[in-house]
Amino acid sequence: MGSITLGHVLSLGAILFALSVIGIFLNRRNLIVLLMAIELMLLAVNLNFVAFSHYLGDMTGQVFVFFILTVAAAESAIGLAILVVLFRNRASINVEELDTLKG
Amino acid sequence: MSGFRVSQAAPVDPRLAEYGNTRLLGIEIYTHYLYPLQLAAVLLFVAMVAALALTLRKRKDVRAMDPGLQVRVKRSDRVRIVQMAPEVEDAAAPEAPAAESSPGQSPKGAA
Repeated sequence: MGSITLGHVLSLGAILFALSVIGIFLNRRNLIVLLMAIELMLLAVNLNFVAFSHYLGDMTGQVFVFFILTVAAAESAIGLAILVVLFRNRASINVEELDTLKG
Repeated sequence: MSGFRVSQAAPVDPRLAEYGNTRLLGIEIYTHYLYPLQLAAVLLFVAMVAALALTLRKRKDVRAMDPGLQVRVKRSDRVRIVQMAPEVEDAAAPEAPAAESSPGQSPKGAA
């Protein structure tokens, strides 16, 4: 049983990213789950940042993770606010019903 | 650059072993990245204000009184003084005491 190496963490990040991609394409109904999948995608990328930061012995990657988390928090706050307004207007968060914007 | 050795354990940084990761991260953030940190705080504040501004609404299904309107009300909004001829009660009329002493009616009716 060796210690945790860079490959382990990168594999975990890749698995999380793949899960979020699968979640986006599998779930075509709920907008909240869609937002959660996008957040999971950001967190998977963050995990890569932390792994490489630890591997290279450079703290800059972890600092960058903090800023990514800040932007993700702002994004999810505004996304949820938009979701609330959308639900007030349409009384639904079903993705398939949000087809008034025909392109 | 000899490439990443993916399957080997990372070499332990002596500074990391001495201080610990949290302290190193704090030193890094609060010395080299102080102004970006403040910028991130401002960004979070703007996001909070934007979320509140997006979701704020005036409810139409409640009956609430605006206190400002209540305070600002004038006497002329409530009372209207009209000019009219004086009504003089006839003291000699015999019905007047009887009407006042009747129990069911108020002594002064609608003017």
